Amino acid sequence: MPGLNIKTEKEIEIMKESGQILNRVMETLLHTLGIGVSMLELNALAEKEIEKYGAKPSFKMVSGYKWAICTCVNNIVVHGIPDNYIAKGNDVIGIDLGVYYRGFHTDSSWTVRIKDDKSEKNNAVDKFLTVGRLALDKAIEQVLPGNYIYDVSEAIQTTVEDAGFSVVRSLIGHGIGKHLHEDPEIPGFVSNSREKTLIITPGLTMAIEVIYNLGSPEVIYKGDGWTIQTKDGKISGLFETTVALSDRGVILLTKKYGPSGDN
Amino acid sequence: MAHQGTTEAVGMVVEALPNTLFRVKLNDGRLILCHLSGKMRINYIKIMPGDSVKVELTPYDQTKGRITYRLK
Repeated sequence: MPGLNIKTEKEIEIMKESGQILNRVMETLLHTLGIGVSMLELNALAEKEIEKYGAKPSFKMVSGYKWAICTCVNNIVVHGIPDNYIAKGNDVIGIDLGVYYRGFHTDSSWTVRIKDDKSEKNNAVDKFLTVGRLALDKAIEQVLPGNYIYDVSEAIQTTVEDAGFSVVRSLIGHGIGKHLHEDPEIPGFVSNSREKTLIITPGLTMAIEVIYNLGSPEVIYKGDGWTIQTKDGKISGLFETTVALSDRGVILLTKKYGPSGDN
Repeated sequence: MAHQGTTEAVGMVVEALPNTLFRVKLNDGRLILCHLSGKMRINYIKIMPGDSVKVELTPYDQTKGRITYRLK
């Protein structure tokens, strides 16, 4: 992974544009996602929309990956390959999307429960997803000059674990910019003393990720070589935004959405 | 699935080096240098010393490999 790249204000401005494109595409995808929509349709839509804005799908730049998005259905944690699976009521579906524009990447994910006409409420699943969105909020609150990455990690871990869920250990957030992955590593859990993690300074651009499971944190690989799913078969959630710390404070380069992917 | 001409082995990460390079001790005792496979790079997969990993080796250079899975 390329090392730490502190961005200039000008570079952050370009990343803002990249993020705005990502936001528009993600909004279209979340708006389209519903009962009867296939994951391949969503992928085709993502490709078309990204191209419309003159950008490139970041994930297609990853060696061997041919899709613009990852679609993580129910027990899929990350790297769900868009296939002909058709969304049905009460599915928990996460969309992970990366956009490359004018030399910079932005990266974002959002997870929603597909509304079912018959059961408008699913309290257990809705509570699970609410906790993920809250953990992301709490993590972003910690992006302050002088704080440490530890503080971001701790906010995620505390929020998720206090609610009785678990943070996946092997998948983490990361710095982002000219490369999809840059330093620093941003785990959703603490494993080091606070001072051993990076101190947060202006110019840092980060993809903060809350990757968590309803049951145990263990994950396993599916046979396709990409897809990672929960070991216990229970559902998983993924919430991610790209943020920058500028001299004027934290900037959300990609948006946060509501429970149904609304604004 | 290993690529044509490559072999797979299992080992344990003993050291994380800069630039996503890792020193891996294979189960047969060999110590090799490994980089991460592209397949591990959409979401950031954390590899740490002590992790058990699956490694792909080419017949051309048996001292280097690439990590394709984190096994636990």
